[in-house]
Amino acid sequence: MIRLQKKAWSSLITITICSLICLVCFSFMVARNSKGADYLLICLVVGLPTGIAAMFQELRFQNQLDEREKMLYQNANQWSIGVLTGYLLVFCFSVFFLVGGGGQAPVWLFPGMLFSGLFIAQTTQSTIILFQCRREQDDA
Amino acid sequence: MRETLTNQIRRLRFDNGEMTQQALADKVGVTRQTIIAIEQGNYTPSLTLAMKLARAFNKTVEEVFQLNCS
Repeated sequence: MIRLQKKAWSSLITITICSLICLVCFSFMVARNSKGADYLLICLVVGLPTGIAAMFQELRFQNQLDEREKMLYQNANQWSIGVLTGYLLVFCFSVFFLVGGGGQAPVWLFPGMLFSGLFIAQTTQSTIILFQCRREQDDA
Repeated sequence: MRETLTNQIRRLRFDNGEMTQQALADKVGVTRQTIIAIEQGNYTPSLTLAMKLARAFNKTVEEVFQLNCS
C-alpha cells in the first residue's frame, strides 16, 4: 500500500471518528437548546488546536509527495471542492424550495449543513485518492 | 493531429545493468509507482523530472522521450 493510500484511509477513519464525536456533541447542544458565547468558546478550544495540528500535518505530508502524487492529490481536492459546492447548493436551494423565502428553518440546520458538507468533502477526497490508486494498480 | 509521448526508460534500465524501478525511483527522488506510470505512458513527467531521468542514464531528454505525431 503506497503512502497516498495510507493517508486516504487514515483521513477517512479520522474524519469518521471526528464527525461522530461532533454529531454527538452537537445533538446534545441542540437538545439542550444551548446558545451563547460559552458554547462557541468550547468549539474554538476543541476545534482550533485540532484544525491547526491537522493543517501542519497536511503541509508536512504534502512536502513528502512526489509530483505525480501531488497531481493525484490535487485532482482529489478539486473533486471534493466540486462536490462540497454542489452539496451546499442543493442543500440551500432545497431549504428554499421547502420552506420558501419568508419561511422559517431551525438554526441547527446551518452548522449541520457545514459539518455534513465537510464530512462529505473529506470522504470524497479520500475516495477519489483510493479510486485513482486502485486504477493505477490495475494498470500496472 | 494526435500527439503521444513515448519513452525508452524500460530499455534503458535494462541497458544500465538491469536497474530496478525502485533503484531508478530512488535515484531521481520519486516513488516506484511514478516510474511505473511513466514507463506505461500513463503519466507525463515534468521537465525537471524528465531531465533527472535523462541524467540518470547519461542521455539527453530526446533520447529518453520521443514525441510522436499521428
